[in-house]
Amino acid sequence: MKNSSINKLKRILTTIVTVVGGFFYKTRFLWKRIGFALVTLFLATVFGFFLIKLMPGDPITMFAKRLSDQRRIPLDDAYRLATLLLNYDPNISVWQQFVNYTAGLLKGDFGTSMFRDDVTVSLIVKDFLPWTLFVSSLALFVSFIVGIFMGGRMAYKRHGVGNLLSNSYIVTSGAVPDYLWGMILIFIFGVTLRWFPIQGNYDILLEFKGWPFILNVLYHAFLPIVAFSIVQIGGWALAMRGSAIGVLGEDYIYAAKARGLSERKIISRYLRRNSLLPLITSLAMSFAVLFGGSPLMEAIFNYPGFGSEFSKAIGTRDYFLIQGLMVFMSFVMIIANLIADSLYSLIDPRVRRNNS
Amino acid sequence: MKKILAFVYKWLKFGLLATKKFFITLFKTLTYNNKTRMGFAILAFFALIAIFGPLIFPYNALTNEVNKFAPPSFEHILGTDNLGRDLFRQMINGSRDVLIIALFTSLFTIIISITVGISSGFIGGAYDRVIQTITNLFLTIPSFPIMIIMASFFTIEDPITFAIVLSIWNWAGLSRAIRSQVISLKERDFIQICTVMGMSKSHIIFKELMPNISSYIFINFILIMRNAITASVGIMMLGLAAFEPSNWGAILLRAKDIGALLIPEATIFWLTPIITIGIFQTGSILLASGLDEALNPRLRKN
Amino acid sequence: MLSKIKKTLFVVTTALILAACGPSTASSGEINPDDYVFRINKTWDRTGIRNHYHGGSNTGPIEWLSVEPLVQYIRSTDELHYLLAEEIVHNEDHTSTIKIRENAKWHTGEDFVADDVLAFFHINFVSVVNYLAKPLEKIDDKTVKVTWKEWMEPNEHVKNLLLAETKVGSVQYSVFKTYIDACQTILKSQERAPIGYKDWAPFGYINSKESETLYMQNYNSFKAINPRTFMATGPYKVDRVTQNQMVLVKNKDYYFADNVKFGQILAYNTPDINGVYNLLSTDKIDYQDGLAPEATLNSILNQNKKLAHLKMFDPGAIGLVFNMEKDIWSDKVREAFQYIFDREEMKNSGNKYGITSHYPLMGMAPSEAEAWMAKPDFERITKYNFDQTKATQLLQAAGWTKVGGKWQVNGNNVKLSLGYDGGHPGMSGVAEGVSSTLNTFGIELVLKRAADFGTWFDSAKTEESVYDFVVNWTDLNMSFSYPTGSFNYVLNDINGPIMHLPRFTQEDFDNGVITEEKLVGQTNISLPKADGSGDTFLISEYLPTMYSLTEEELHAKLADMVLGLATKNYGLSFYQNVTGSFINKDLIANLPLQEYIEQNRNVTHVPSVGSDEFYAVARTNFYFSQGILFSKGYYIPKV
Repeated sequence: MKNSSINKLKRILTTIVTVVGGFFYKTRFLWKRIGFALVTLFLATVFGFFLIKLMPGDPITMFAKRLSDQRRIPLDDAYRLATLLLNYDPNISVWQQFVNYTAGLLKGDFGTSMFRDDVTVSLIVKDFLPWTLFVSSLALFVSFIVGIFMGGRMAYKRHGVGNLLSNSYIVTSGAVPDYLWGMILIFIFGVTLRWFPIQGNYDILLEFKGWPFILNVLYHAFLPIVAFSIVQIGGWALAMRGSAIGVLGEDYIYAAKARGLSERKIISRYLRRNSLLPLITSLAMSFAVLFGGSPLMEAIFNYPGFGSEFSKAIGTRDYFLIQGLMVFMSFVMIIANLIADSLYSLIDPRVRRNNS
Repeated sequence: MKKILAFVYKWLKFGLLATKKFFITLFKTLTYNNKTRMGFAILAFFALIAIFGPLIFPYNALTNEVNKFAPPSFEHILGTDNLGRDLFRQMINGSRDVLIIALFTSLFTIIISITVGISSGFIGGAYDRVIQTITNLFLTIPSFPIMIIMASFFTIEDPITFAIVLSIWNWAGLSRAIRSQVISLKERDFIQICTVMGMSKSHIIFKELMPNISSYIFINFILIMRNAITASVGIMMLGLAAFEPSNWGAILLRAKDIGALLIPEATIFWLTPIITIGIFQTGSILLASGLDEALNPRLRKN
Repeated sequence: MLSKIKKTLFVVTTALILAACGPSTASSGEINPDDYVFRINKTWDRTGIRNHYHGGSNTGPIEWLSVEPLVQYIRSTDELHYLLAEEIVHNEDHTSTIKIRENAKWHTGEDFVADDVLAFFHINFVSVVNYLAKPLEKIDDKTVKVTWKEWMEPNEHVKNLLLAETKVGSVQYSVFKTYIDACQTILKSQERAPIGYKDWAPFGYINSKESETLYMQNYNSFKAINPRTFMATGPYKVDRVTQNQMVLVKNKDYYFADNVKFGQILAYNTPDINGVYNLLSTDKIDYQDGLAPEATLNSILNQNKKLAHLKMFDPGAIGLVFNMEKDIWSDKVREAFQYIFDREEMKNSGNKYGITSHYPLMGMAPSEAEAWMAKPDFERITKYNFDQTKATQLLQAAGWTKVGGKWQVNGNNVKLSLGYDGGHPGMSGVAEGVSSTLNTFGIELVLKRAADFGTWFDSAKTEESVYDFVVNWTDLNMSFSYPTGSFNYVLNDINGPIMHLPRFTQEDFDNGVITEEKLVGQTNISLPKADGSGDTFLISEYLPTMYSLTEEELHAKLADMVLGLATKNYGLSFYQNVTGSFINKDLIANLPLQEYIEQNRNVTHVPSVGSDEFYAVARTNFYFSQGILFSKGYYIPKV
């Protein structure tokens, strides 16, 4: 009796080990990549920390100047006040600061502001990143959808008025940087026509729940989303066109045509899926870039986003915050990179084969 | 004596023929279709203006505030700026710096990318791994904050420094692409034959690999120029590098700071740099897109 | 039939009469504050606000409209308004008695008492008052006695202003009791300072390293407390705060509640200047302080017809400051530069509405010099005109030669670097004007723009700075207008380091060059006295005692300082700065300069120093007068 139960146990254990081990083996390229990524992250932390220290402009002096302007007190009084309000001891050596910082990092603490001990990187991420992501992802979504339709159509119908218009749009929209489009949009629709609000993410005079709030948020986000999308649509259209043209040249399309399949069937069954595949990874990478925020756009629209807080930290020389935010952004980029790479391998079996 | 002369003559003929062939191919490529024709025309136009413009239309920077935002006239073709200076001549004066920044950023980026990409792909092994880690580092650290830090640290004073700063964070993506091209080409038959035949490494690199990726590089050259202009104008608008007030980006910065969009008389003032940048970018996009069609076998119409 | 018509007529007439005599609040002239909202723009920390003034966050409008001092001064005029203090009496025996207002209360309802005043000065280690005073005493719940150190006692005017600088209504003793008491313990554990001790010794105790550390720790815990509502006493209470907007409501129990005629304040948080211009143009705010370039100003007024713009002096002058560590700035060269520029054109490049100044750097802005100096002394200050021929002569006398249109020294082309803070629009404009003038004159100039104040100041004050000279405030007073503020800015705080003025070293003391050790590290500049006697004086001996002078002594010392500095030509001023306020004239009933506003909403008339209009217009600037506008009822809505 005991024998068989021990055997059973042995068998169960072996199965578990084989399954888990097999899993690790199959995905070993993943672990290699993760290790690689962690090394990069560490290097990024070191590099960033020391580079930031090289920035000119002593934070205490700058803090003192701000206090002096605000409170209308002489600069030397303000300087004394600044040292009092500062959240760190300027006498610790740079190495010690770095060690403290990395220690905190391992505990999950990305850093705290030098000037305010209640402002941590986590707080900024919690309060500001959602707004940045909200606008940027909606913009990404909109421009992706519009872009691929435009691009797909351009690939299939190589001539015609539609093609000409799309081509002209792509060329002109890409010619002017997105922040300039933002300024122009605000000027036309916000200031002159007064159709849309010129700043902010929502109006304080509303309560924070329900449909009116959501509508108000969308109302305020409309112009920024349009500004972001104008330029991005062109990019996606071009990418889709390139990909679709590639697919159209493949043999199986000719075969399908020879078999007498209708245009619609060809498009829906073969063209869409196969040309979208390479774009998915670009989409994942673009999503990662969103986490950096766009400080110029956020300044123009006065939208409380991640990018503008980062700019502010740089402007006030808040070393810890800058470091923390940079590490956070690198961290996100690395994870997104990883996901994009893995996605590509998962989706395209040829890549998987090549790697193992 | 005769032999030497004949030898020289043969070389000259070969050289001339090669150059002629090169220029014919170049011409054919550049006039392949409407896109390339227009794109090249636009870029050539700007290049001419940058080189000869300041000589024909010298710029006097003396301020004359009472004459600000004057409407276009015979004396001031585009009117005046916020301090009463001729806008047309300012734009011409600024075009030199803009083009130098674009050109040199492209040049530096490509030189670095090619060096890193080809060497990394060709040599492989531990060297490749180290280079790849460094490339990864440059790819993942967000470029914008580093640029701000570097801009305040380096005090950008001339277009070449600006180009260096811009290219430092630009080469990573391109070098990766080049490396993957090199790796895939390395496995192809003709390279293997070359190695078997014992040809020197430099021969393989310059005579076999480079021509295959040259079209890709050429297109990227133009695209990087376009990105460089967008990035440099952006950095100038943040106020980090406005070393020369007649630079197009610096003009936009001034326009933004004085709220020029609100001033009706200043419309030409803020519209001109935007349209000029737009036309230049359009030229580059057209040329790059057209070249893509000319050199990419799949897109060729024949 | 007829009776029906009569009935209807009767009803209709009665109805009409009743309607006419309807709600009579409007007709009787009573303003209901709940009907009026005042909208402003003032930035605060997006990441959140701690609920007390010393929490370390930038509180934006709360600082102006909720937190109060004992007495408030209006910047540029030094007009005093008593708020939390009903009166402050300065007695003959080196004491001052502060009488706290009877019905002053915290927003939470408790009385504002003497303990709260003491709490502020005890926890606020760095307040200047602490260093000039012996321990404060509480006489009763509503009276506080300040005993000044006789050997450092400032004159009466300065005493009031020092007390006015501090937001005393910000620390409630009953809430922070533990920390305040801890401060006193730390203080008393220190060594007592002897009589006549002139160094920093708060309340007469000498600072030691250990007590400073203890003190900092205590302060950090104090800072971290977050009360449930914002701790303040002023006319407005904090209602709601988001990242971009803030709502403040009228404090109905305020001791001057009857003066406060606006029920709500709505504040926006827009740091970008373009965004502010947009808010003004689209009638989203009723007030904004500051100037805009002429074309922008006119466009904004055009788009929003409700706005008017008034202008007032800013106690500062903008111009060039030389970096004296560069050999090129010999005496004759500096004098030559005074003549090279068309200062009117430079002013136009920087601030069209400024008042052109023909003075050199002299330690005080022209308006301040005129206000504080004796008239004959003020008239004696040298004025320079635009004379490039004279400049050429002086440069040649200095050894410069002009070859092929370019100036040379020792065979090399002169090439100068001008540094400026690009974040300041006036300075950017001036930099461009200077660049165009000098380059046309034949001196090659390279502009070095710094992205912000910190970067610029760092580059300017460092040894072997890359800047040969800078665009900056030549003279600026950052707090109340007593001259010491301006001299400190020019000689010690900002321009002193930029000019790299020589300082006394330990060797100077060892070799007997100076006799007092405390002068080591101080500026080593002696200037000629103004009486023409040829005697000189050390700047570092004049400055520390300026607070305590009588009016006559002050006049004499000012003449020496200003005229002396002027002879040195350490810099040149292009214009006295003028700032302004955008005001919604359709909303505010009693603005000054009405006749000017009616002619042209962009009022260019700047009231002269000391006139009635001077005080009235300075008051309309929110940055200058802060909460006074509402506490004293200067802003009343138009019905």
